[in-house]
Amino acid sequence: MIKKISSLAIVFSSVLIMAAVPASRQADIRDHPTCPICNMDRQEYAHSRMLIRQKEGDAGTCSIHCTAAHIAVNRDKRIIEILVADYGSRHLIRAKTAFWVIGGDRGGVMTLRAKWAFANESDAAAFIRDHGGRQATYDEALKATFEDMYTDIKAVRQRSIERKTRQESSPLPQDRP
Amino acid sequence: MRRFIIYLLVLSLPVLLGLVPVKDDIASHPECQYCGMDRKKFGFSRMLIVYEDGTVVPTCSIHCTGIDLALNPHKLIRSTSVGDYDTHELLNAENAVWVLGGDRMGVMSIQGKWAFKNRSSAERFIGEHGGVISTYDGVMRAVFEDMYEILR
Repeated sequence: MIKKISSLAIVFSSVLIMAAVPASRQADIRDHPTCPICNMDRQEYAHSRMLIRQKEGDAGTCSIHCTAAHIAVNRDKRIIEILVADYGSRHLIRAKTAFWVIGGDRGGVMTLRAKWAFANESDAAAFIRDHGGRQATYDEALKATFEDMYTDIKAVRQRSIERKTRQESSPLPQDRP
Repeated sequence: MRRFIIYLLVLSLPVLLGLVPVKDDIASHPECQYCGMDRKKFGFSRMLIVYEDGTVVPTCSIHCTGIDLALNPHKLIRSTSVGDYDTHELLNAENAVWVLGGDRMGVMSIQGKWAFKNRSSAERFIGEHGGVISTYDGVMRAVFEDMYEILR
């Protein structure tokens, strides 16, 4: 009887733990649902999102592009560590120890030249084999982000201009009498 | 009287549309929106962004202008003006002749980025202080590359 109860308790605890892990994994999305820079949905961009842990409070961004913008503006804030989503599992990992890939055929987030992070080197290598790009460190990915920043800002603005032009050229249909 | 009002409106239309930079921008915006620096003191590097929605962003330099652009990538720009290095007169930033580098310390940046109304003034500066002629886009790219160097 005691053996049965123990087994049941173990199974029950396992189920509870398994249920709790995804919740804690996504806690940063719950706490920071939108990027403070571009306002994009961090759940939708869970594969590229980042979390800047600062003494003054955390900031959750959609990508390394917005992370770079955030740290450039908040130079006075004291960074504890920067986390990034593993491209495959969406788990948050340390940005500095992640294996980064710059480029490839997958469209980047807020950038024309994609930057992705992987927990394992083998996953980064597999991505490069399937999609192209080159392996890099966090520092190299951040440098590339700043190099691309102005071109990417201009591209975002160009899309806004095109959207505005489309809206102006096709106004909402008027109510007919 | 009616004629006079119409005349005034016609005269002020370019300013309202952001086609002509606001002349007294330092009096109306004495401090940089980002770093809080005195825009009169930095009249030779100050900038002024006017967005399509009417918002105006005063900055001390192209460094802080870069920060504003990074924070507002979706906003449409009506005009971007910069102080002429010599006269402090506001110029259209995209049409100005820019000098990148030289021995004069930059504002909010180690590498200087200065704007001139004409090429001869820019070349005179280069003759005295060094640096290279550039465009607004070229200088703005350098702003972000320098930001990485400052932050690393």
